[in-house]
Formats: sequence, C-alpha cells, structure tokens
Amino acid sequence: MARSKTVTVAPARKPKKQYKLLFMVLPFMVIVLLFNYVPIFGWIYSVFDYVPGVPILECDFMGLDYFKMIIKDANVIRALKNTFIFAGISIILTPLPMIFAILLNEIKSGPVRKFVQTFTTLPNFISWVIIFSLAFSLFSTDGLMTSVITKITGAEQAQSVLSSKGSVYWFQTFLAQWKTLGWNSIIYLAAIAGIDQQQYEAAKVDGAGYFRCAWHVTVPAMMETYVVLFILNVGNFLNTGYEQYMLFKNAVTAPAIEVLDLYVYRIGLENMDYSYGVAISIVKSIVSVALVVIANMVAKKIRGNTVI
Amino acid sequence: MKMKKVVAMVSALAMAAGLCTSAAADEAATDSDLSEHVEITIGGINMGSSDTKEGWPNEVVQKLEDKFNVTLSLKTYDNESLNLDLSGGNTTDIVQVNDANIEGVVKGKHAVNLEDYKDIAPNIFSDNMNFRNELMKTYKSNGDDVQYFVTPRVTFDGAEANYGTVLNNGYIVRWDLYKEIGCPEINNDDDYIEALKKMKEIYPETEDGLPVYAMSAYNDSHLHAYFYKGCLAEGYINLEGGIYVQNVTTNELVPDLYDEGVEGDTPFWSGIKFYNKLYREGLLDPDCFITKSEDLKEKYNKGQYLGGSVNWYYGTYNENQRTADPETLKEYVTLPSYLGWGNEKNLGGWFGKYFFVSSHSENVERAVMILDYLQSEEFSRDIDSGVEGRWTTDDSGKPSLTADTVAMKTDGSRLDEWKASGIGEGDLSSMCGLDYYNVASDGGLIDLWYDEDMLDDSMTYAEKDMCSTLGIDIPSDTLKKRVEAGTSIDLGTGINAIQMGLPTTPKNIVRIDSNCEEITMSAIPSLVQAASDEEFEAAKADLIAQLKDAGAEESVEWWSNAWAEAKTTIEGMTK
Repeated sequence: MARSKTVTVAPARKPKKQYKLLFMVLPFMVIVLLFNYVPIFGWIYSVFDYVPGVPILECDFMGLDYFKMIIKDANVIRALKNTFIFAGISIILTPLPMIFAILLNEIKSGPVRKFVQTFTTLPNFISWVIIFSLAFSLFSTDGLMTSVITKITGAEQAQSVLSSKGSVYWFQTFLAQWKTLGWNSIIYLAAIAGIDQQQYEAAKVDGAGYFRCAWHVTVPAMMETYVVLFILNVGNFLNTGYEQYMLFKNAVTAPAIEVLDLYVYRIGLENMDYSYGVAISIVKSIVSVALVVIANMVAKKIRGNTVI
Repeated sequence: MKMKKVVAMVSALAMAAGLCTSAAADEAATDSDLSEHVEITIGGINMGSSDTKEGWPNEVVQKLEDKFNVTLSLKTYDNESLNLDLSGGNTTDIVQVNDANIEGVVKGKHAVNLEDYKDIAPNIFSDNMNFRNELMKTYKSNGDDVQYFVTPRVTFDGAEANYGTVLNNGYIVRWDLYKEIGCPEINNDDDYIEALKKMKEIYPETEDGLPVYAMSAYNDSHLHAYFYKGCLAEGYINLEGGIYVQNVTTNELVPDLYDEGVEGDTPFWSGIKFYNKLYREGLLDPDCFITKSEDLKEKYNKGQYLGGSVNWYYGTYNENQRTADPETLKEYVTLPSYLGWGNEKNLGGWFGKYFFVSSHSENVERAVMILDYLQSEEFSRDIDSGVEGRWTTDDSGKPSLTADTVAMKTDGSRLDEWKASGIGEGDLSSMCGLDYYNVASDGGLIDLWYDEDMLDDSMTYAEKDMCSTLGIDIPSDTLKKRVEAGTSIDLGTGINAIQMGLPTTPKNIVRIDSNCEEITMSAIPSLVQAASDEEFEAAKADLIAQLKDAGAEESVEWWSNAWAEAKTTIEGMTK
C-alpha cells in the first residue's frame, strides 16, 4: 500500500487589485463614454419632429415615420451605392500600407528611408481644405497638372479632372491614399520591427532572397496586425466621412460623390432636417455593428481566434 | 380732531417725501440704465465678425458705444452654430435670423416681446413702422399676435428712389475694353454675348498671360448664379433658393425650375440658356462648375473675366486698379438689363432678415435700446452717410456730404480712412431701420449719396469717362433712359412684402424643394454644355421628368395656394 503523503498547499494569494491600471485607463473610458455613448442619447431626435430651439419633448412625436421614409428615399440608395463603391475600393486597397511598409523596410540607407517615411507621412496632417486648394491649383483647367497632361496627350481642350464625373472614384481614392498611405504604414513598420531577426537569418541560410524573406517571414508576421485592421476597416465600412467629398462636390461630381455621411450632413445640417438625419445615422450605425460582427465571425472561422 | 390733523400732516409729509423719493428713483433709474458699461453682441447668419473687420470700431460704432455706454461686437452665425446657441439658450443679445428659424425662436421662447418695451423703443414703434410691425405681429409670431421681430430698411411713404450713381446688377463689362470695341448697344443677352465676344477678340489673355473668359458661375450659392441672371433678364425677383420667383409686374408666383405650363422662359431657364450660349461660343470659363466665390474673386482680381451679372466680386479689382492709377479706365461697370434692381419699395423692410432681442440676454433693456437705435433715423443716416461732420447742413438746413467725404470715397489711397468712417459698412448697413431713400426729418435723404446733387460727385475716373463717352450725366442714367423709353422696368411695381405673408413651409415641401434643387444642380452641366438645341431640349425634358418624380407638382400646388392667400391679404393691407 502506497504511503500517502500529505502535502500542505499554501493558500493561493489573492491577486492584488490593480488600481493603478484602472486609474490609467479611466481617462480613456471617460472619453469613450462622453464621445461614444452619451451622443446615443441623440437618437431620441429620430422619433420627434425636432425644431431647433424648441425643447425636444415639446416637439411633435413621429414614431418610426422617419425610418419608413428612408426606405422610400431614392437619394439614400444613391448615397449608399457611392458609399459602397468608395468603401469597397478602400477595402481592396487595405494591403497597400502593408506593401509600402515592406518596401520601405527594404531601403537600406537610413537617411533615405527616414526621408521617404517623413515625406509620405506628412500629408496625413494636411487638412482636406488645404488639399482641395492644392488640387484646385494643380488640376483646374488652367492648373499645372492639367496643362502638362493636355500637352502630353495632345488633347485639343483641357479637361479638369475636378469636373469630370468619370474620374470621381479613382481620383478621390488617389487623393485619400496619397494623404494616408504613409501614416497607415507606421503600424506595419512597428510590426516589422518586432520580427525576430533570426527568422530572416534562417531564411537566408535556406537560400531565400529579398522577395522570399518578405513573403515567408515578413508577411506572415504582419497578418495578425492586418486582420485586426481589416476588421476595424470593415466596421467603418459606411463611415467614409464627409469633409473630402463635401469639398470636391460640384455640379458635375455630385451624383457620384455624395456618400451617406455627406447626405446625412446635407439633410441634417444644411436642410436643418435633424430628425431625419439622425434616423439615417441610426440605420447606418446598426449596419456598421452588424458588419463588424460578421467580419469577426469570418476571422474566427479562418484564423481560429477573434478580435472582439 | 387734533389727532386727525397730526395724522393728515404726517401722511401729507410722507406722501411728499415718497413723491420726491420716487422722482429721484426714476431719475436714478434712467441714469443707472446707462451708467453700467455692458457688452452687447449682435449675431447673425452670414454676418461678418467684428474681430475681423478692418477699422472696427468705426466712427458709427464708436458713436453708438458712447451713446449707450456699451462695447458692441458682431458675431458670425451659420445655421449650425445658431441652432446650437438656440438649443443651449445662450444666443447673442441681439440676433438676426431668417424665415427657417422663426418657428424655433418663437416656440422656444427665445425672443422678448418688444411690445413690453414700447417706452424705450420709440423708433421701432413709430407710426412709419406700423405696416412692418403689423406684418411681424401677424405673420412672424407663430400665432401669438405679438411683435418679436423687426426688419431692416423699411421704406416709408413719400420716399422717392433714384437709381444711385452706378447700377449694381445687370450687364457688367470691363469699361476699357467695351469702349475699345465701340460701346455697342446692349438690349438683350444676345447683344451682350456679341459684345463679350468682341472684347475677348481684342483681349484674349491678361498681361500676365492668363486666359481670359467672358464670365463664370459661383457654385457655392446653389442655383443663384443661374436664376439671378435670368431674373434680371426676365423681370422677376426670387424667393429664397430661387425655386419660385415673383413676377415684378404682376406680383404672381411662378415655379422657376419645374416650368410646366408657364409661358416664356422663367428666370432659371433664361439664365441656363444664356450660359449655354456662352459655352457654345467658347466664352465660358471651363472651370464654371467648380468655381466658388473665392476663386471667382481671385480670377476677377487677375482680370480674367470680361463681364458678369452682379457687382460682388470685382470690387477689389476696381480698387486695386484705382490705387495703382487713379485715372485708370480698367474698371468693371454695369449696364442695364431688362430689370433694373432699383426703386425697390420695402414696405415691410428687407425680408429674410429678422432681428430679435434674446430673452437670454443679461441686458435685455440695453439690447432693446440698441435695437431701437439701429432702427432710428439717426443711425440709418450715420451708416449711409457717415456721422455728422462727414456731412453738414447749409444755411437753409439742407444736409449734404462734405467735399472731403466725397474725395475720400474715390481716393484709393484713403481706403483705410474710408473703412474707419464706417460709411456703408456692409453688416451695419443691413441692420439699420430706414431705407436709403427715406426722407429724414432735416429734409435730406437718409443716404446722402443718393441726393441728386451728389450723384455725380462720387464717380471714379472710369465712370466719368463712361458718362462723357455715352453722353449721360451719371452711369445709372443708362437705366433711367431705358425705363423712360419703356424698354426696361424697375422694382417699383413689385410688392415684396407678399413673401413675408407666407406661412412656414411644411417639412415635406421643404424636402421636395431641397431635392429638386439638388437634382437641378446636378443637371446643370449637361444643360450648359449641350452642343445643340436638340441636346438642350433633351436634357431639359430629362430634368423636368426627374423633378416631377421628386414631387415638384405637390410643391407647386402648395406654393401656389399659399401665395394666392398671402397676395390677397398683403395687397389688401397695402391699399
């Protein structure tokens, strides 16, 4: 009979309450609460016929009338179509910052790399108003770029890309990418910096060149980051913003450039039809949340773990 | 008995003491009303901010500040910031709003009832303002039948308008070039286009090598560039947004965009046809659809345009040319179109500009006093003609501008001094109570620049040259002659007060109108760039079909009924 030995196990120590960490996160929670949760109160405007200046509860109650209006509104369909096109192009181009980061990483000269990185990051800090002014100077009919393009193509009459309906999608995408490419690549550069150099050395020993190293070491290491950002992008699918499109909107581009956010801006703030604008925003938020959940489920299926 | 006498005596003494105290208190109250220095802010939609105004506080403002012991400032509102302030109950002391805000202001109790302050607002409630006040009580009080608002620039009985020295809107030409092509007569759009064509032939590019165009459009004011041009050519005034227009001669309402069943061209379609002709002649700026007001000003400043229809954009160009050479002929001048924008009778004041005193103001009484002063003859004269000293009275008591004031206006090197004088300052000029042509108590006009003796004194060198070339006394005589000959009309027959009698537009109609406006904006390029009449008609038919689908007929029905009712009532009130 085996002798049993009694082992005295010391009682597990209660984990120390991490008040410090809690305090550190507190300001961010307050910000999220203030700017993301408190505004949800504004959803109440969607069921009243709100007149600016009149207390909300004194305005006429409309129930779900504004939500029913959305279904019949042809402009919502058009704006939604434009939003999907812009967002779709944006999703397709999500690998671009990652590719740019890989290429940047391959530049061996430190000063050159820093220059390229700074040069491509700076546009992110230029406001859309300034970009519009620059674009007007360069791409209006008398603009420098238009003149150059006209001379190169030998066209009889200069055609400004700013007043060309057919150029809306690619030109706006080009501007958005020019503005954000450098900035968006920073997170991938950070991911690359975290890759163990021994992996590259091992790959080189196995005979891998630049391309193979990038394909078999760098890209897999960045996929985690890419998927997280991809899911966040999908969540923001309908949140294209409106500043860029508002500035570049004109009589020619209007039908193609008016995205949902810009339509909400026009309805709510220009036409002062706040309640209807809020109703559209609510529908947009619900769709966005649904998209995030779906993207998360897809990610789980493919990778085995979730982001949220 | 003795006791009664004593009581009576004490009572009498007490009453006497009370009366003395009361009189002293009244006096003190009057004094104390102005004894404390306060800050008063006037905010308004599209009003400029005093922080960015050159020469602020100008002489007119300084006088007001001294008189009422206040510091006056102006604040710019747009719809968003105004609605935010209304919702938060922290608007400026005096606020200027438009029709869209009236309901919220009244229902939300943001405006004080001016009738409660009649004692300190004699100018607002003067007999001359009765018609305006009646309009405000009836149509701008949301059924409360009290007066919350005042309008600026009310035309009094007996006001006799002239067309001023120069015209503001019409067929604009660069005088030096127009003179060079022999000043061909311009009676309609076709004549104008022909003149522009000739001007471009002799001036294809600027001295700096930049291309020159006849004109462009301003795209940040929705459809204004198109319908306003048409209003001048066809004899209409526009309702806000230009989706509906009022015939100046008959005072009938006409749908401007959806013109099914309307005889002839409505202003919008007239304007569009004009731009289409310019396009086909190769005279239109290719950036026409992307140009905004600031771009337009810049191109005018560079001398890239030959013409236009409004005087808002070329002022700096003219000033710059005069500063460089006081005897320059390079100036834009205006020739008359069919409708001359003059002789306007604003019996109810300017519509779309309603001033009220905020109930949230910390100094309501002082704000009412300031608003009342803005409505006064004194302030109106100050802002139009300058403070006393800028104008003087002769032995017979007749007021007239001084020679120095006249010289100051035309001398480009005295621009700073001119701005500091406050004369004609845009925002203040849009808030004073009396129309330019009203006769003041001293027998002179409110705006002495419109005095017949003064009209030719304020002309620039180019304008004088224009007069000597065309054989007229002042540039606006071009319109006077045409009106006398019956080939042009002015605004004299239009009753713009009808627009004030319209009820608040229901939201479903606002939505339809806004949608129609947006649809039309998008259709403009295909209309303007139509290469042939057939292409133009096809583009028009397409737009009309889209407007119909968007509910234009429902909108037309509502507006027609509302207009008919308002017209009957207002015409009855004016008789």
